[in-house]
Amino acid sequence: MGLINSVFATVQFELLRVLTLRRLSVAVIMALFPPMMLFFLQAGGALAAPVFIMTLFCGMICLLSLLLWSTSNVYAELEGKSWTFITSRPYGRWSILFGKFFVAFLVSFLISWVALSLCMLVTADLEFNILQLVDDTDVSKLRIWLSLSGLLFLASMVYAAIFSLFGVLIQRRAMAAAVVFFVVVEVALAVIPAVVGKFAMTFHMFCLLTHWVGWIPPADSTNDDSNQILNDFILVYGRQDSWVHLAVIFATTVLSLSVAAYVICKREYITLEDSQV
Amino acid sequence: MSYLIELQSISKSYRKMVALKDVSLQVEHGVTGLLGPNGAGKSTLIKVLLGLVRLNSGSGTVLGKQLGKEGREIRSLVGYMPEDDCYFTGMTGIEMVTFCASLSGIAAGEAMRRSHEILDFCGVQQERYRSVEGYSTGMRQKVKFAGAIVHDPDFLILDEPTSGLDPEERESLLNRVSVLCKGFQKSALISTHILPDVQAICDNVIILAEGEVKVASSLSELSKPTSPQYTAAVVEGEERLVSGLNRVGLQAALTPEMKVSVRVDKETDLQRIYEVCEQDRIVLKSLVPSLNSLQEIFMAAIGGGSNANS
Repeated sequence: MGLINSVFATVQFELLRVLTLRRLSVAVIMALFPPMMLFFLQAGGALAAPVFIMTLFCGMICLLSLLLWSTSNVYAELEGKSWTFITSRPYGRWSILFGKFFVAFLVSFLISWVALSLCMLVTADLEFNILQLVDDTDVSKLRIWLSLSGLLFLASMVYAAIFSLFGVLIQRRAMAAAVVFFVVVEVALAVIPAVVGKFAMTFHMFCLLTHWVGWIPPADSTNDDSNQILNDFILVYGRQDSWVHLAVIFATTVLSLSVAAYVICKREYITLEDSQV
Repeated sequence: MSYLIELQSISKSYRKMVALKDVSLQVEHGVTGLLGPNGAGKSTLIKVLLGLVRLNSGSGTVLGKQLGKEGREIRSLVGYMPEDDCYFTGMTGIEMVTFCASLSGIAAGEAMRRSHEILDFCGVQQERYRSVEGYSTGMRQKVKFAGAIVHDPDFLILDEPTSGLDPEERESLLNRVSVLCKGFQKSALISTHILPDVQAICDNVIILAEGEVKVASSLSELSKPTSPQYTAAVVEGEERLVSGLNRVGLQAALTPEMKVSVRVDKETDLQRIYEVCEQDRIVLKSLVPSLNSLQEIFMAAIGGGSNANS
């Protein structure tokens, strides 16, 4: 119970910090960036694949927000000289980790979800022209919006946990390390058509998207073997059920947070003052 | 008997820099002053006691709880007031103290109730509803102190609690520490450079220098004179008294405070002092055994050079 009170207080405090004019302005700018880009691309007649573009922009905004909010979990307190004050409390370390994780997750999801919703409004008059691999699937805009919202939720959650772990392991260069990790593992590794690709969360989220939007039918349903594109797709991405991908994403979140909780509890964080005794 | 702090041969280094060298201590309950020049290892010792840093060697207990093994239990029993100006931007005084209470695991409603109570005790009135960024140094110290005691700890660790305070605020803060320790049986460890603060409220003194414990004893024990010296205060005629005492064969000298310090080797020497006063018509106000000042003790312990302010 003590830990819950402590984490809740940290969440409240961190949310209070979000509500400052400077941070709110940053959040609003981030939320407005994707719809504005879509609007200008549409006005210029250069919006060929709206779903891809909006997913890309909203995903980038979500990641950027997570990098800002979760990688600095320990370093911000060390730099602000509040580390010792907070960690001298019985639940101080865990409340920093979990409190900041929740806020990073919540804020990043809200920013990217608002951005996505505005993107849907901006592209309301457009035909999405989605390649349907299964003919009987009705890919409505509502379904796309719900699916992408779900993915942004999962992405915010799992990357907030992974980036929090980076913040706990590496203080000063956590953000840079998280960017390198994302480019190497989540972008480069994910496109390798081999088992290693499954280590990337983007792989699982892409598979979930294909299921939710109806591009790939569930494993137990019948499919047309003559559909070459579908067969190629299944060859590369496999054909696990959605729950498998969800389980991987949730397990990664729990594992990252557990490792971070262990490290933050055991590790000795040295401030500049410490090194001067 | 259980000690407040018991350390056995603890050592702590930051990379190649040795912060604490083979420190062994037994501190009794009460108010203890932690003294030492900058870089002596005071802050490291505090962090060791709070379980915030790992020991390289040695072991110890705080309030009977094992260092390194029962860190959370120790931190729930200890209230820590850091030296740093570590207020949380954007928070009001009451929010900051409530946040401190919540970090100690107290439920929100109870945390708020306690915070108001503690801020009343600390003399923070309507200012509690203002943002801490706009506070004066004195007000910030009060709020930090309130944050340290809001969860009702048994043991307070106060790092430079009176630094930056004017004399009135300083006295008030020391009074609050005294009230808590004498009236509510709390114990305190006060790390400071201000020796009169230690002299005012501490029962015990620890002096650290170069990572080693130079002195650890009760203040009354330390203050006992090492030589049989007496101090005499007179209404007027200090210089006449010095020459009169020298005339009868006693070693006497004038102190910077315009008192007369005289060496008394045997009982009859005291009688001779009274006789000199009577003969030279000097009115004696007091004649008491000289006590070692903390300044002298401190200087002797650290070997002369210090940053201590007296």
